[in-house]
Amino acid sequence: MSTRQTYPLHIGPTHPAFKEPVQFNFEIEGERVITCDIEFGYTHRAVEHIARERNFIQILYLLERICGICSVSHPMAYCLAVEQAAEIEVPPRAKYIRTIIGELERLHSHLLWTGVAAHEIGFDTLFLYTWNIREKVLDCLETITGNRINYGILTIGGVRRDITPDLYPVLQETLDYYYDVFERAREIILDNMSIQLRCKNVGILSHENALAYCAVGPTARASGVPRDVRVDYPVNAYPDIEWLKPVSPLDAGREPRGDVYDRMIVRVHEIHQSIDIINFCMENMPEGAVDVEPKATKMISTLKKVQGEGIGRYEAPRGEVSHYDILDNREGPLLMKVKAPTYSNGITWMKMFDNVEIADIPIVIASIDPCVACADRMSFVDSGGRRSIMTSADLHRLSVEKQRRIGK
Amino acid sequence: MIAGVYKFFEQFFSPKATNIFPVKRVPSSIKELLAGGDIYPPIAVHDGFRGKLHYDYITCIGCAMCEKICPAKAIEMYPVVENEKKSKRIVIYLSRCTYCSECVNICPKNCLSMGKEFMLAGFDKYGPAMVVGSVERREHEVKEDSGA
Repeated sequence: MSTRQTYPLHIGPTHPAFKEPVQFNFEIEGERVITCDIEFGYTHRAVEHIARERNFIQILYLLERICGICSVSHPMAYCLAVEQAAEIEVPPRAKYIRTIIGELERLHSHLLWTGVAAHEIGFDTLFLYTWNIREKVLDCLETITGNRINYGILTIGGVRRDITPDLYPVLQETLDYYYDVFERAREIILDNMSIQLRCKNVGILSHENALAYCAVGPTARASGVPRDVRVDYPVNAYPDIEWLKPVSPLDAGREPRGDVYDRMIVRVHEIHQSIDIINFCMENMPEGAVDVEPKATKMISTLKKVQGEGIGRYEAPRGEVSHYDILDNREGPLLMKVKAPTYSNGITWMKMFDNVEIADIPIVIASIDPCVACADRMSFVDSGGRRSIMTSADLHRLSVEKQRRIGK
Repeated sequence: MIAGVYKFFEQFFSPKATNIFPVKRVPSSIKELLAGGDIYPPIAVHDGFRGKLHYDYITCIGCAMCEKICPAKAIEMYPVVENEKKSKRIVIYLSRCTYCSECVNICPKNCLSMGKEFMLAGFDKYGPAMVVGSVERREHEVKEDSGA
């Protein structure tokens, strides 16, 4: 008998290879994955619901905690959305400081990812090396903002702390350090034989699939889709930077194939791009105020008079974050909708797992830089404790009902 | 490959990247060790660091602005009688505090400030070390009805 026999392989929700709970149901034949199914919903935190009970300023600190690493991206998108709705013009200096903080965050996020990816393929020396050089940017962020992570520096209409002249040398020293260390780090990460053997032609996401499954961020750019919110819909200081263009594996002289190695190239080159952007911002920093209204109570009462809606888009280290807010004469937004990058990128796992070996599952999962808690939107539990599945028609019905309920 | 080997030797001879561990040997009692204060100090923090909150009971007027703005709802009000008038003062539960310094910015009397202490771990989250203003509370708190 020569019938093909496949076996199910369930990984998750909790597993040593994962940092966050998500369930993978593989169908395997021998060592190869045939099909893949993903179940989200194990770490839903109802952030959008909690936000409805808080005022505009309190929400900022809630949103920082959606994702520990993108702790500027979510408040940034939220601030952009609320500023659009209330037609608040942010001072130019605040825009530049926002850009600097955002790029420092991208720098440390990509270094963290490189370490995690190295750890997933068992290359722990590189893991410790990248995390060692990451300490410098965290120290820099701590000096500028006061916190090592969850900086609490953004506010609606500007930033809460100025980059004073005595902080310039700290920032300059950090930049010099990274310019100094980048070339060798790039060589260690990308030219390494064990990295190339494990990452080339693994977890391929073709250009067509990247478009069809709406991949965002470095995942899309590695598949040859030149999509970057910083270039396509520039905010903050990005419109001033004329040389800014989406990073592509072509920068390293490699035709984009969409494998794990391409994603690594894109992230490593984005580290250099981030340093360049911070350098540009420091050289061209405008003078002036950093905030429209320093008093939080006055800002809340201004926003309380506003009726309208706004959408904010920002390129987080993992991809596009978008926030949608409706303001309706309340102390907080009437409705808030968060779309995190893993929400788009998680679906692409289905295509990436085509013909992947079991040993490569952890690195393919890690390759999109997943943040599962950001992506969880709902979890349904029946009264009997059994999970039920909602169809798109059900979801549409629920959505319409909720909108009517809120509108009353 | 060569870069990796070179990096290995470079790091082998370069100073340690991490801070020195607080003590050399396992102490018999951690409490005694901390009381003695004979440990390697942590790296000094910069100005503007958001550490433990400091609260000035005397300047506070009990306006409750900080309680309203606190994102973590870490601030609690209690009734007091100051200058023969009914008023309120605050305690801050550091176990809930997110160190965002919103209360410091909003305070009209500048009676809140952020210090530089960050070694705040403790066993009792309602003890005096973890609740800012708890000593004053024990001294000044009055029952809501008996104040009249």
